[in-house]
Amino acid sequence: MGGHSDEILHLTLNIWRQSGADDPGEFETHTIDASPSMSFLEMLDVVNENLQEDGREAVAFDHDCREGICGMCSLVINGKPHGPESETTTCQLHMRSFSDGDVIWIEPFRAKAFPVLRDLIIDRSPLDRIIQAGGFVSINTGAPQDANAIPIAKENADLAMDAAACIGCGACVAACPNAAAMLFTAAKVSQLALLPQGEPEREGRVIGMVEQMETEGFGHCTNHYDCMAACPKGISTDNIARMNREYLRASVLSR
Amino acid sequence: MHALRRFLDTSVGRKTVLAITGMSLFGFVVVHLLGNFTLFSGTEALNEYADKLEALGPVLIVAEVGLLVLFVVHMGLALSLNRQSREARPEGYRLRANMGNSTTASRSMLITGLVLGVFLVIHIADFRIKKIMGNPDVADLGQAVVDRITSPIGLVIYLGGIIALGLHLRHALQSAFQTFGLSHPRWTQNVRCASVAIATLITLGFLSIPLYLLFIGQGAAS
Repeated sequence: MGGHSDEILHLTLNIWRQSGADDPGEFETHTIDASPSMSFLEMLDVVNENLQEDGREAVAFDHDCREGICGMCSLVINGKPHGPESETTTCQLHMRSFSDGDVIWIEPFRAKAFPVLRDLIIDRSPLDRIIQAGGFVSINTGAPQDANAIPIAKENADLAMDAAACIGCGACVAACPNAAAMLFTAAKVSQLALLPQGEPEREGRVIGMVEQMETEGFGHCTNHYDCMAACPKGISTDNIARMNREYLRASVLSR
Repeated sequence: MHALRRFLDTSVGRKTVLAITGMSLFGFVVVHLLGNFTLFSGTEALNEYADKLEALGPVLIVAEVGLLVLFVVHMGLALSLNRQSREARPEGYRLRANMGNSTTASRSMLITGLVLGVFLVIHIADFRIKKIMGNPDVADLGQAVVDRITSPIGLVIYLGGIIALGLHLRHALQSAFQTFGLSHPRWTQNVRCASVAIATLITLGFLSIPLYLLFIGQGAAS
């Protein structure tokens, strides 16, 4: 942790700049004076204000809620997706995690399935298509039923909730040496596989989602568990074992 | 057939077959090590064991062809999965930090696997092929093994193979459980510990043979 709030951090930033998918891209170096109380994205906001004052193009980066729940922010900061703090999204990372004089390298999440659109913004729609391939429960809408109409074991409810904490940011893909999307897909399979509501479409779901994951060009799982270390929501790789189990079961049982 | 093809079209399916073949090969390694232990009773004991295996006739041929298929499938799948993953990140990071969860063993699976493949080719060419061709060099198989292991070049090749095997197994055994979906908070940690322990035991088991031959039983063995 850095020092007092009146301290100023003099930082050197190496930021990835890339005008589009076809541009090879390169690092651009900036210096900035930042307050330890700033969030990482607020620090980048200041970088952009300075750039715009100089009449230069602002650095493009993804963000939305800035509360750590939407999954829009990304960035690989000093070689780690979402930066050095564990279970922390980039928007919830504060500059007090850095020290005066630090050099910070900022790169986009890198995977063939996540092409860079501009600077630090990547296209994460492959994750949406994995959800579309089965990560849902088909139900008739209407009046909600009584909350306790379907009994669910407390432990299963908790595990499903833990899996459902995935915000779909793609840090697991970014951290994986193989650029695999196993943790994301496993969390989305698990949150429904653990609940009775997921039962009717159980086999089709996991097969559809795993096959879509392959189609999108992600890598394979070598059980390093770096994804779990990078996940801002602490999603466990136990979910990957569950998905493997579900997939094997479905491969035998599906018609 | 369509269902099997669909299964093998996914990395999850191919990893399952990779794990099944890997576990089968692990079984073979254990049996092979137990066979090697006959050297503790002298080269004659190993020759007797080899003769008994030869006496199995067609059963041995089926077993050997089966092993060859296991090796080829295991290596072929590993290379195809590795290619998929290399293609999945055509542009790497300029700076990459260690996330802390991977191990030397997990990161070096391809390398240790390739080393084992090379070791296997040398090993089979030097013993099995020569034996089948009736090469007098391996007529006394037990003595041939002792000569190889106690020669500097042979020892280096042997140690290289053992180290690669130990590292490979250290990650592989527990990884196979994860791939099969066999995971539970109550015993997964035990599986991981057992995986390291078994890999270490196998390594020490193979190591014990040159240590015995070089420092204890050279006279007894030769």
